[in-house]
Amino acid sequence: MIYIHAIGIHNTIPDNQPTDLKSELKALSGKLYRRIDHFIQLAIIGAHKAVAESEPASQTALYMTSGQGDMMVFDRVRRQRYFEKRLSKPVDFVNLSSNTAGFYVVSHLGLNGKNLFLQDHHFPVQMTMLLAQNDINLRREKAILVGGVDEWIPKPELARKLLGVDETTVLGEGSNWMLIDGEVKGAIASFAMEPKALDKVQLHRLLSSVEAGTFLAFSSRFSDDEVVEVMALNKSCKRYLYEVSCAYYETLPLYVLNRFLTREQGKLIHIDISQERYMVMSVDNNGFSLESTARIY
Amino acid sequence: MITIVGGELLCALGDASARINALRTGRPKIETISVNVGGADVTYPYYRIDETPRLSYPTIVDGYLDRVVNGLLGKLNLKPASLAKVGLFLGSSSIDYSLAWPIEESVDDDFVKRCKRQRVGGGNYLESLMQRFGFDGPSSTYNTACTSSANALMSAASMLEGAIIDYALVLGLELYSPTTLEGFAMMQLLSSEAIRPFDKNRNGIVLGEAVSAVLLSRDDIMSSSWHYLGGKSSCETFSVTGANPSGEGLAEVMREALEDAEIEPEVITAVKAHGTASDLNDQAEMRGMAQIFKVLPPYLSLKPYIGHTLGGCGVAELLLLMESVDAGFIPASINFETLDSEFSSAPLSQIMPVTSGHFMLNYFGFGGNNTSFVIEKTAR
Repeated sequence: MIYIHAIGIHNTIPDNQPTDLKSELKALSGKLYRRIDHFIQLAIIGAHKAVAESEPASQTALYMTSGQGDMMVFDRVRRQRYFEKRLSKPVDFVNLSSNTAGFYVVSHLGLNGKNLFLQDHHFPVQMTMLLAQNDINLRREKAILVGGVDEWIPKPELARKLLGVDETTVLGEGSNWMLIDGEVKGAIASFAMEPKALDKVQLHRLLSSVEAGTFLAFSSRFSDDEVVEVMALNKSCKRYLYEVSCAYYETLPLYVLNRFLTREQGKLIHIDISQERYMVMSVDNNGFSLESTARIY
Repeated sequence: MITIVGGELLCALGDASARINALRTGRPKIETISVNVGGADVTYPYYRIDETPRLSYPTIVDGYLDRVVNGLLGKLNLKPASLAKVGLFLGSSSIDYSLAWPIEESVDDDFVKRCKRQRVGGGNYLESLMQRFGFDGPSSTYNTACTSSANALMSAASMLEGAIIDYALVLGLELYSPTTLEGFAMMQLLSSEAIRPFDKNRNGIVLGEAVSAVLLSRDDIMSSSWHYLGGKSSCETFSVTGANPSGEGLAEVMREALEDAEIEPEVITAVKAHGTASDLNDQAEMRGMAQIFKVLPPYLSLKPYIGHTLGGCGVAELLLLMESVDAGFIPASINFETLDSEFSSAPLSQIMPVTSGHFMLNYFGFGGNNTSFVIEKTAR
């Protein structure tokens, strides 16, 4: 079993320009960072909210995922190279590898464990959580700080096309983190996920047997009709509505899990869909002490 | 036990027989490439797979990833039912290629109107392979700079150990990118001469291309004389662009890789060093090895054969080492001339006859990523 020990939420809906994170980062951490850009600031802020107060063990691993990574530095380098006909700054070149965000998070938190930057076309959060769950179960890692970071891109029309979402989709940004390990002591919730993508029959079978009162959350890829169809499978389940609190970004599932844990008591099953394959994750804070929840940001 | 079943590699050395010949004779094929740095054209040595222009995303998938996957599956004869149990793990420091394709073409303002509505991003390569070959396991794309495909391989081994999958296809991808070449040139990390790992007069890296695929499994599913025994990856925060010259961080991953593999240092037959030929990183690696091995085992760098293939080097150099041992030898660490006064021994100066043994493979990269793992080939 996997347990969640801390969570951190940073979730915004920018209005025409990227949020200024520099001052927020300084206020949170008391440090003035140089040579880091918006994406890295975003990563540090979310991770800081999750674990800075609890001083995680230095060997804690960091698995970070993102839909697109450091898009703004990529766009800046492109602009400099093709429009301004000049070479980019070394710091921008280095940060083109989005894994440097993990380096700065690890530095900020005083960690020295494994540092992975992972992406996936369909399920970036779920694939990262699957790897983390497996590594904890095998005791390959004692604790893992898992984060999903997506920045808002200042060219929304282009961004929507590159994200493959329709022109009415409101874009947001987020940096959502959870600290997981195999120890129940001090945990705020348990976490579990199906290791394989399910087809519709398998999903229906799974949902028909879940306990009464379970909350169901659906990713934004679900149509209204599909949600109605799934909710009808088990009328004792309740829909968890989070949609009004956020806009679209690709690592939103981590936000949904974390938000649930800050506001509800019970079990949440999060269902994502891509190409008629479903990935299912769940969190459950039934029976976990209120004292532990002090570590929720 | 995790088995390494087989692999396929595209690199500057050519096909399998040409690779063995080059590794045996110590004669790789090197070309040159020019880059404009500060208004002046500078020429650097470069290791290319071939002459095909390759900035566009479809070229990458159709021309290279498909070739290595097709080649590997052709050797292994996996049935369709087995393909559905294959997990995919890709490592590259250039996972923004799929982003580069639409954006680098966006040199005019009409691009936004022309651009199709389709998701881009680092996961695109594997998505294409899943569609084409029917893979249905989990997939992840790794960008941890020069340790990318090495870390992908370690995660694959973990997912096999946990029985999440029965097969893991691990891919390394690094192809020519003007942005990458210019970035390294601007940071003055490139050598304008031959790459000389661990030499007193080493003066920088030489870049290269490699696209590679290796299939891992478990011995209860698919046996092999090659096994992955264990490894360790960690992040040291000394510098975002280099290892701590003390070698402490590198020693730590080597020590823990040996512990994970449950073998003692003296069992190691040879070390495939990272060996980039950059001054401080070679120094750090030598200092790290000195902290682990009382007597340094034979060690070599494979980068003089195919260049530094960045995120692709994890799988590419693994396969070169395996191919060499399968052919009965370990290649010499070529281009070495003068021993650095700080180093206790020189890298392998001649090919070493070897048909089995334990091998440590080191990989270090930007972002503080250090990775080391141990493999073995058993005598049949």
